[in-house]
Amino acid sequence: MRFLVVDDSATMRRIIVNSLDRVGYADVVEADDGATALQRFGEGGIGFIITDWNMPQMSGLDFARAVRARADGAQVPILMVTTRSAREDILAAVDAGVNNYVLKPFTPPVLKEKIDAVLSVVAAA
Amino acid sequence: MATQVQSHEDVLHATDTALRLVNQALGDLGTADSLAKIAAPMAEKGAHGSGSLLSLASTLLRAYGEVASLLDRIKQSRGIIQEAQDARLEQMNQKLNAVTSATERAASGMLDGLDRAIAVVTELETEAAESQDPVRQARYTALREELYGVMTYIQFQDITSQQLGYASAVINDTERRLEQLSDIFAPFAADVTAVSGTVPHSAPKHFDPNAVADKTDSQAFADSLFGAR
Repeated sequence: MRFLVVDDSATMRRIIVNSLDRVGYADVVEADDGATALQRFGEGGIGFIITDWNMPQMSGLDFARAVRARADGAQVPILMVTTRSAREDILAAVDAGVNNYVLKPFTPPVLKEKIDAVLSVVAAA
Repeated sequence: MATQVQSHEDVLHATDTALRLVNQALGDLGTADSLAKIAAPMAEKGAHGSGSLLSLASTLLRAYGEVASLLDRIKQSRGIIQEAQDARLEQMNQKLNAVTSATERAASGMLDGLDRAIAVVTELETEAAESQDPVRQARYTALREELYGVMTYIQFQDITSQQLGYASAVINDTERRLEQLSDIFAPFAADVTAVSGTVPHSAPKHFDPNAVADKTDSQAFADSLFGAR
């Protein structure tokens, strides 16, 4: 399964990619903002999206909404990994169609736990 | 009695309006000399008849002097505001940007080092497995886990850079507000742009002003929401 990792921080992208590799997911493409991520997603083959929220050009929330608005993006799992911890933010992510939410800083086991949870829900649907 | 709390935008706007009114009133009155010309006949009349006219003229002259002096002090403070705006805030912003870049470079260097260290430890782990030394292999595995743990902590860089981004945006905002304040205090001959009710951010927000490391409660709230779906 190919992951799309979206974060404007190169450091965070590296950490997420390393964490994915550590838990067995080595096929990853990266983008540094929502607009670029939407392009990458349009190229096809993305099976799972991990996105930050606060990014220039297009935020992760807008990116999630844009993906959900596409015919080929209605079902793709989206995991939000962010520092935004306000309850209204988390609720906004739910409304935008995000499948799960991880607050930074996270550990690779937590990331894996959330990915597994999302995949099991998607598989059951 | 109801208490009305005004925002700083409201106060700025009220200040602008008040200063404009004072300016207009002073313009209508003209200079102290012309005021003296108006007041002199009043004073003369007062000397012959009504004492209240004399008193009014002298009060007007005193009030004009007070207001003119106040405006002079306001104009002087404009220079101080401009100095803070031009030099100190700009310098502070540059320093914050430098700190963000430095921590980003440091984090990248640490990740490079960790990648190399993990590669070496993985090699040693494989060698230990091949030589059927489970104790040594377990130690290398534990060491590799520690290195991964360190990698996790490097996320502090993203969290601090978001806080610095917020601080930088506050400085930019303060700079803009001071610029507007400085315009209010500009020489009254110049055309003054009114302070608007709201001060917009110049750049879109791509930082989290509340970025902190411990968010156990929020994660639990998210888990409760997404777990129920």
